[in-house]
Amino acid sequence: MLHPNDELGREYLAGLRSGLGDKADTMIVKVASYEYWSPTIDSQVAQLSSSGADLFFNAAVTKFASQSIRRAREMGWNVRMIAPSISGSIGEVIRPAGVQNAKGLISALWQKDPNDPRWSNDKDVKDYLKFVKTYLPG
Amino acid sequence: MKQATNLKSISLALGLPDYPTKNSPEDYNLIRQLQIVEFDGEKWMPFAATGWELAVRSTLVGTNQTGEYASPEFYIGSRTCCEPGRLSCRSFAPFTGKHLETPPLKEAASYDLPDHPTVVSPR
Repeated sequence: MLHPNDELGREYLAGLRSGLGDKADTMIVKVASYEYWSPTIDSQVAQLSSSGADLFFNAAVTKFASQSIRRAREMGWNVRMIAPSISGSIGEVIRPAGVQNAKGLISALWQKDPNDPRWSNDKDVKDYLKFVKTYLPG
Repeated sequence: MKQATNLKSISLALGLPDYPTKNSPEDYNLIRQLQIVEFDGEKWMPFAATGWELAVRSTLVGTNQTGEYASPEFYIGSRTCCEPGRLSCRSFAPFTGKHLETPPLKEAASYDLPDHPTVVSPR
């Protein structure tokens, strides 16, 4: 597991441990964290990839989510990856990471991502994009 | 405040279609479910476990009474009953910690957030 070393990141770890219960200690083989001022998280991804884990819970956020998704694939680590909903933005996270690198990524959503082609013909998304174009140009 | 904390089944324009929404004066969190999705190289699609006896249900515990941001909590489940193209992911069996066997479909009842979710503290 990878998480930012802040309250949000530690809460993700606590939630994961809580969900796994007694098995948390044996099922979580490696946890790496990063500080938000770090330039890169390559070394954390390298540590994780050498841990032998068969599932990567990637709770890195924003640019670190993109970096870690890309880095894992660049290193040839073809592990199944799970990202929380906070990293679900196709425009902010997935495209910077490279769509091919993010293929197979699992996440959870409650909303329609306006950048997601799945909703490109959705009336509400179209209305939203029109509103943004009209009232928030640039 | 009374109206804003007694919302039920309101439709959010940018929320997924027919998603359950509900809050109360004791629990402000409106979002009650998340859809498990997989990135197919272009877009997010409802997750279909193929060969994976593992599903993750991410549930937002959300904002508590004092307005502090509380924990997103992850439940590791033994099975997801999603089918490709289905828009909801309701049938879900929580992982008991004992086995990863797939329960019969009928027993895999929908799993909604409790009304007063426990906030997980950092360790």
